[in-house]
Amino acid sequence: MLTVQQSKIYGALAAAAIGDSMGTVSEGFSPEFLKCRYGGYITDLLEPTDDGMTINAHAGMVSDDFSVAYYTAEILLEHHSPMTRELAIKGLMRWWEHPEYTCYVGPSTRNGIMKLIDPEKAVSKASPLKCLNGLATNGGGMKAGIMGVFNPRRCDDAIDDAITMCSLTHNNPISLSAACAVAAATAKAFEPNTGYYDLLEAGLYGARKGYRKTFDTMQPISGCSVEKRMLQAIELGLRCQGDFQRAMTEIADTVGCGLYAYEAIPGAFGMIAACKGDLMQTLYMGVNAGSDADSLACMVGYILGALHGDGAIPRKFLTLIDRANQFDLRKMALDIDAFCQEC
Amino acid sequence: MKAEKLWNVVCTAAVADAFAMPLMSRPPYLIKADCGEGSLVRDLLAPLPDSPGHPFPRGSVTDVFSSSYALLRSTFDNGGLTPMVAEQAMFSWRDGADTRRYYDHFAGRSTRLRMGILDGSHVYDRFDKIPCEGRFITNGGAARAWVAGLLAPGNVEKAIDHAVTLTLPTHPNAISGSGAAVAAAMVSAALGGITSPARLFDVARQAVHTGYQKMEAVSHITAVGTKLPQRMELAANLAVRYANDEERLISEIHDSIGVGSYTSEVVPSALGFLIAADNDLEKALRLASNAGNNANKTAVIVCSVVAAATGCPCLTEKYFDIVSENNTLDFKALKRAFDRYFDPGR
Amino acid sequence: MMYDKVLGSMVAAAIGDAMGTPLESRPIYLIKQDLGKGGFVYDYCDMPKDSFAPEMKKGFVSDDFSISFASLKAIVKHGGISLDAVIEGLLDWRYGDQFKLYSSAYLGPTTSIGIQKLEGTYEPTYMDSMECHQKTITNGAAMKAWICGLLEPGNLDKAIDDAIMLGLPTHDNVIALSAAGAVAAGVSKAMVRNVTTDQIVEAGLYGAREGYRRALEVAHDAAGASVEKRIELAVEIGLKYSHDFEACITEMTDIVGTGLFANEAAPAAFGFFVSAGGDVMETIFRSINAGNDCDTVATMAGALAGAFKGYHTIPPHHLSFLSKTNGMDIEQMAKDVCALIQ
Repeated sequence: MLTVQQSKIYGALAAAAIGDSMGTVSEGFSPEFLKCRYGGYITDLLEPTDDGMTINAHAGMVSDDFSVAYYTAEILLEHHSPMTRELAIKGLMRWWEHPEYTCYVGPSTRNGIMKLIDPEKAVSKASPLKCLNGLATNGGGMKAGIMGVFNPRRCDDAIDDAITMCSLTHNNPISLSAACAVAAATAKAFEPNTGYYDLLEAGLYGARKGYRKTFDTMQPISGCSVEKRMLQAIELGLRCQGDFQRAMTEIADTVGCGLYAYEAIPGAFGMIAACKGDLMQTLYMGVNAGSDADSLACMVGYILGALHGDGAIPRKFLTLIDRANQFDLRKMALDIDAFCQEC
Repeated sequence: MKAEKLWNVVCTAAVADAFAMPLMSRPPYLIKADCGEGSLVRDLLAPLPDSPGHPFPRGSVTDVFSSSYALLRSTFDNGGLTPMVAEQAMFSWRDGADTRRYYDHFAGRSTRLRMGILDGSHVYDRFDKIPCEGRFITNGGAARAWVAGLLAPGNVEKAIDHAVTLTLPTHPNAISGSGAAVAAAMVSAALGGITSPARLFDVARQAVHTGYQKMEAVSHITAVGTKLPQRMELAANLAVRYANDEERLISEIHDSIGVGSYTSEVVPSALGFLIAADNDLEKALRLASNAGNNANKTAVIVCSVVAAATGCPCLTEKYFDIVSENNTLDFKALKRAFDRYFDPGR
Repeated sequence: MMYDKVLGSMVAAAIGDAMGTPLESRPIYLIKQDLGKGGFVYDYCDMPKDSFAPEMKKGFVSDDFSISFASLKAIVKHGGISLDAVIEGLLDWRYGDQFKLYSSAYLGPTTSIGIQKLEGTYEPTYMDSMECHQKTITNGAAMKAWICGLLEPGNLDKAIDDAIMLGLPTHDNVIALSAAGAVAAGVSKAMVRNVTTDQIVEAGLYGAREGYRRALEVAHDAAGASVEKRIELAVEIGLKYSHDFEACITEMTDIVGTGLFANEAAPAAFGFFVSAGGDVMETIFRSINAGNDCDTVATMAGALAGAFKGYHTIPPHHLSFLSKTNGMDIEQMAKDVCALIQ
């Protein structure tokens, strides 16, 4: 029998993994195409098709989104330590040993890893440009939820840890602002008597604080404000409550669910607003919007999984995720809880 | 349609491209700090070493005008724009002696990838097998679609057809097509006498849907990503709110709509700047360039419309000489071909 | 725990009214200039000379809390809400020793006519022959409807019905009663254990909708903006600007409104409640500094927040200060209400 906190941690981990896995099947496709192919919305962990973004994957397998966070969590637990830059590197390197997940590595993550592995080569190949706008991607946001899990109820610590963890590969204020939004909302979700409004506010707080903290210490970049896009998305989501299709389409078309941090993260928060914070509904919305569905749904999973706990997740998904990836997420949740109690 | 006015659109597009070039990739606050000495940039500059324009000289155009130039020359040489001419133009742009350097230095990832697919050199990978298009939804087609408007002055329907044609080789998807249609339709309508920004916005509202449908029909693939119509409305709202506060407008549009590589960022933003500029060509250029990032695209899109609407020669008079001296493009040959095409009786 | 919520709601409502009254009718910039010494107001003030009732001392409540308290007094005496209790409460407020100080200073236009009608002293005007009662869509029903939420914790439908009964004698129109339904249902929901702010807003929306629908059967028609839709808009604004005090109150005032009409004040109350994450003092500070009919907005918003978070989150000095200054034993009233609802 799990305590409330253990259930929340397990919920966050499992829902993030499920979001990632369910979303890898729909990643890269458009919502219309998906609806046509599957005759309706995807609401299960399906076997991926050959023409998607997956590589040798099967139903239930996660991709880079969840796995980076998972191996980083392993490292933190083994070292019995809160997040540090050294441990973030170790986490990334442990992940790099798993080709079944690293085959999906995104451009900014790859850049970051290459810099760590061969710093001299990286320097010589470094771009002379001051602003590398193609790197404002969501690879920070996709894993930052784990820092919310390790800092239950402590939004500010979650924000700091998210910056430490994600700046290795996403050292620009846009990606980091987005990462802090997810981390803060996840941390907030552990507070009792919290509803989805509180998560939206915490996310906005995280986006704002994350941007302010990194604006003049990280690589400058040009791109949309994560906070402003979040506001657009939340407004859209609130207005389209009760109409799943319309909410999903409006958010996807206007704010976006794509690769850039100022699309997928705001998209996630917009969907949380649209679905009033219901875990499975929001996951389904993220998955069925296509585009960068796995990242978006993974982030939603952390935030709402922490809010609702593992009880809100269908049992069959929990079993399949563990089996397909050789995880034991329930045990990891207990370990994280024990670790948090000591801190 | 007076040929002079049309030629002024061409020159303005070149100047707008060159003016925005040094400001590319930077966000507005860095443009102010690094290029504008604390305020908006109001003059033609040389690119800094850490910007994409380097080491091209002050007055140099980018991929935007050079690809438009190639398109114009192919069209004039062949007596009109057809799908084959559009594709040929892209190869001329990539390989031609006068335009090669711009392609090599400035062409974006999606353009290069598509050129590889067209010439058979592309090595197919797992991203190519996905039956939905989420990669090429970038703004290369929209950036040169002013040419389509020029070729069909006052005939919006035809301009949209041309826009689809010239976008198809490099950006075969409905999102890019819809953006190109907007840019083309506005230039065409403006040349046809619809000059108020509000009415041009109405033209854009219709063109975005027509362009989307037409491109969807010929590209045979579903596009994935943010779309234009809602973002156009958002941009228009921002423009109306902040029309009199240039720095605020630039910052809001950069932050909310975006001026990055997606068509759904640059085209709506250009529309926002069009509305705020209210047919003041220098203001339009200033707004679009100082918004940074893909500033060259935004600037050409908005300035070609304003030049089409007003015939204002101010940018041409101020900067065209510098532009024609500092580029390897043969403007004289272009003018000759232009005259033959538009004014054959001469 | 129920007592904590009841007392919290009552004290917060009183704080909102007492702190808001000196700021009433002013726009934000004048609040900052005249009362906040260039900033915002976070405490009780002396009554400005150009206010409705300059003779009232610092810490006095106005009609909002006093009429609510008077109504509760009568309801407790009768052992529950009934039309008799409602009327007794109204008349006690108008003429009774404990409350006539407030009624003579603050009698609102719609309440005044309502009481005259009850007494048979009202002289009809041409307006009474009109089908639709737009001019009376004021917030006097909503401003006291929060007590119905206290009396029916978790029972939204009964709270709404009670709010209509409480408001109908003076605010006989669908919009005023829709707002009353919203506030009653919101507070009723806030009285539930482990409730969240979004659930309270859902209840408020339900209350607005149902209040309107039920009022259609018993009250006069009126044209005006929808309380329900305005609540949605206000909540959107509240969420957007939760981090920015000044932007929050400015946008709320400019777009939703914080004035006398029920379809401004009640939605604004929900908006401020959400923007403060339900925190009692933050909710009140935002409500009062928005100006206009800010004491009413703050009473309603305070009632929501106080029920949600409970008395134990409110700094302790307010209860004794307000009870003493106003001669109202708020603690005892809270106990009496708890005895009724347990």
